[in-house]
Amino acid sequence: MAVEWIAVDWRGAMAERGKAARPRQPGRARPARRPPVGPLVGLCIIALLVVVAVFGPALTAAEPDRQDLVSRLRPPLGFGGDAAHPLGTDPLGRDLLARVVVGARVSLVLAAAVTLVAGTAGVALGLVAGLAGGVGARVVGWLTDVQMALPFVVVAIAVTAALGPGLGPVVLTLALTGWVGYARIVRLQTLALRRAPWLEAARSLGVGPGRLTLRHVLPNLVGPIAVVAGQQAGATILYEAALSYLGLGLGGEVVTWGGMIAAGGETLATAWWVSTVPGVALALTILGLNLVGDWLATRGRSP
Amino acid sequence: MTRFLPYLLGRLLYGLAVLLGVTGFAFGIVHLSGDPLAALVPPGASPAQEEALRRGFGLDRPLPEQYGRFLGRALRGDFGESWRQRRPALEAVLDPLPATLALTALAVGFALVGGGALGLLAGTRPGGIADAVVRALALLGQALPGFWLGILLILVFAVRLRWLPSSGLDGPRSLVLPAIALAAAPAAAIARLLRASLIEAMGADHVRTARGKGLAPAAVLRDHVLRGAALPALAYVGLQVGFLLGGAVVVEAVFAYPGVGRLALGAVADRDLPVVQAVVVLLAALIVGVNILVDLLARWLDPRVGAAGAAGGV
Repeated sequence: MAVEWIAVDWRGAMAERGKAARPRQPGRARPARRPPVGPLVGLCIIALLVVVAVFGPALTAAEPDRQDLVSRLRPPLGFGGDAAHPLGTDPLGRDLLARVVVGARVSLVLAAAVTLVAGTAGVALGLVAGLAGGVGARVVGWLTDVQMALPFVVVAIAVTAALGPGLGPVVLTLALTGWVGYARIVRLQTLALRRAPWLEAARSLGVGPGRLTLRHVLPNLVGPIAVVAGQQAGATILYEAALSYLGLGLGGEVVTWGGMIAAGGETLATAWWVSTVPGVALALTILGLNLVGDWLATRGRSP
Repeated sequence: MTRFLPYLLGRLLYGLAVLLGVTGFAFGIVHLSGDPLAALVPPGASPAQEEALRRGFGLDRPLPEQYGRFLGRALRGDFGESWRQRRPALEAVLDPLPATLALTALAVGFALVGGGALGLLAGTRPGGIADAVVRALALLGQALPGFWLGILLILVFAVRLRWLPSSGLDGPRSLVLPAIALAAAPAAAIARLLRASLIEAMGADHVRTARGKGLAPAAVLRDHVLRGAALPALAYVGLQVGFLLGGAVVVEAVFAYPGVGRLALGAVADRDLPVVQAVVVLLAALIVGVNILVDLLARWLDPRVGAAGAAGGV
């Protein structure tokens, strides 16, 4: 009986903490790390996405904006469609493959911009909270809680109502929502670093606070910051799509997955693929980013 | 327990401080755009009429004074007149609020029951087939955008099968599909969290002791494992209420559901700024309130949380 319970415990612990929890047997070398499947799949999806975003427009013959009313609402290949439009066409006869490819580019560029802005702001505020302490830490903590009370859609509604749709408002909205993750991890890591002996040594050698932060603290935070960036990339792309879906996004003629999904909603009963094709692209992208993000996070915890 | 009242008071005061920041955002964003008057003046107004409106709205005063007045009126629940609906903005927001709250509450229920059941299934037998299926489902649930899931649900259950209505609010049946679309992501997260904390709790010493003294597995699970393991999931739900209210706005748009989200999106299109500000402050107040309630609940479930919170500050 007891043996059985321990076996379950061991399996449970192993399933949760990964290979690191496997009891090391004396006299046997540690088993080689088998690359986990999930992250690999995720990496493949992301690589495919990047390739498509960079080279895709050159590879697909069809133009994303060319209307062709003769071949409108063609189903995808395998559902009665033909090779001229492998993923089908929308009500204006525009090629869905070409549009999904352009949408991938928009999503990735936007995610990169948001990561840069939110990351910079979050890291700066996190450093203030972690290093300055006292009033600075309290103010940053308060800002964090204010942000937590403002869901991204609510921020987007306020920003778009005030500024109108466009690239600037979208980046502002997503940066306003995204900085908290960076600030939190940077603050925690900085608090842990603050008492490190080498930092104490640098300080006693007369290194000023600015240089201390940039040259001695920040380089040690690159790993955790990258983990947060990886985890948030999926959320950023998802949020952007939701905003475009709601008409709070980039606006105008920009092709976005969210906008495509919204437009496809009108022909849902007759042509399911118009919103399903960009939806699958979006879901796959987020799945890939989440798989890699989870993996980064577990590795970040137990290196 | 003697220190409960000071804790509650501090928590409420801090909640007010957070709402102060929220009003700052609601006020600041409108004035960031330059002149909010542009959104208020009907097209074709003469400069004299424009000037009269500017003075009428107090927009000729210095910004800090304007913010002070905004705050003072907001405290009394006065966000100005919705110039689309020609009635107080607060009233315009309170009207559809119950519909949104009903949707969010049902989604929280779905997420807790569905995510809890899946997490329990996976966490009690880690490594099994059920565990693998649940983990795959959880990954999928977190990757599917709620608004697209909503469209798929409409496609299958409303258009093809005709089981449930696709849009509007016509009896409780209208709530089912939107609530499922809204609940998918948090249910997935709850399942993952509960699974992880169950596995950790099953390995804990006190659980081993409970098993060792011959308690039935069900009793061990109920009395010794779940009580501690449920806490992270509960804390997560508290944190996610804001996310859910935001998600409700999106899902309402998919299902043409007459809630605050649809009102707010209409207000954006009309640049009805008083309504937008009222939505921002009201939803934030709800989120802050729920977070306080969850904190109290967590303190009740696990006294250590309160002790740590008191020592560590906010």
